[in-house]
Amino acid sequence: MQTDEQQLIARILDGHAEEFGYFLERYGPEAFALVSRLVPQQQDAEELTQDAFVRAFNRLETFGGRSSFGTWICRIAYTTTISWLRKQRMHYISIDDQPQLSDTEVDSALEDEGRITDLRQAITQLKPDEQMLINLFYYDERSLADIAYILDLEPGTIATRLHRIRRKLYLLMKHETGR
Amino acid sequence: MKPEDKKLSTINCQPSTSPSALRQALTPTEPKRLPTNFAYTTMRRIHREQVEAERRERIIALVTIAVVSVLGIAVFGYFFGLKIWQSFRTTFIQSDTTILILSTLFCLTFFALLNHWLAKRQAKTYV
Repeated sequence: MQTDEQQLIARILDGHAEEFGYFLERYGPEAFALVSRLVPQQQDAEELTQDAFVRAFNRLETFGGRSSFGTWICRIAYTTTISWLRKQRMHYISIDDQPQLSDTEVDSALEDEGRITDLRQAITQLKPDEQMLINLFYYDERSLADIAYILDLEPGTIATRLHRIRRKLYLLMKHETGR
Repeated sequence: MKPEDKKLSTINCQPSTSPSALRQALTPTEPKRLPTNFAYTTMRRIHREQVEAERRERIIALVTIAVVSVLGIAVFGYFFGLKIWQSFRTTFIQSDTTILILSTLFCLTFFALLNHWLAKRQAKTYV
C-alpha cells in the first residue's frame, strides 16, 4: 500500500492532479475526525480539513515517506487547526500543579465511570495540544512514534506530558465540583 | 505504575490499560461525518487555486520582463542615447531609408499581431 501511494504521489507530481482524489477519499474521514476533536462546529471542522488537504497538495513534493501518508496529513491537519485556534484567541484555564497530589488519587478519579460528565467538562478546558495528546494516546491508540510526529514532540517527553495532563484533569475536575 | 508508563514499557500492547472513564469521556457524543461531496469540492478548490497560482506566476513573469526591459533601455539610453538619437536623425533625413524603416515597422507590427492571435487561438484550444 505504501509503495502504491508513493507511486501515486509521483504521478500527481508529474501532473496528474486528479489522482489526489484517492487520498481525499481514503484519509479525509481520519483527518476530519482529528480536527473535529478540537473544533466542535461541523462547518469549521470541514473547512479546516479542506485547508489541510490543499496545503498537503501544495507541499506534496516535501512528503519524504518518513511516515505514512495518513500520519503526514494528520500532522498538517493538526498544525492547521492549532493556528486557526490561535487566531480565535481562545482562553484556557491554567491550574497550578499540587506536588502533594498522589497518583493513586488521580488514577482512581480517571477510572471512576460515575464522573464521566465532570471529566468531559475538564477535557474541554485543556489546551488544544493537551486535548490532542490524550485523544491520540487514549482514544485513537496511536503509536508513540506517530504521536511524536503529529504533535512535533520528542517521543521521550510524551510519558511526562501525559502524566502532567492526567494530574491537570483531576485538578480541573476538583475545581469544577468545588465551585 | 501509571497506565501510560505500562503502555510505554510494552509499546505494542493494547491499551486495555487506558483509564476506562477517560476513554469513555473522549468518545464523541455525536459522531460527525464528512459530507459525501468532500473529495469533489476539495478537488475543485485545488483546481481553482492552481489556475490562480498560474495566473499569478504569469503576471509576475510579465512584470519582471517589463521592469528588466525598461531598466535595460534606460541604461542603454543613458550611455548611448545621444549618439543613437544623432544617428537616427541623420538617417531620417535621407528619404530612401525612411521607406525602409517604415516597411520594417509595418512588418514587425504585423508579426506581433499574428503572434498575439495565434497565442489566443492556442489558449482556447487547450482550455
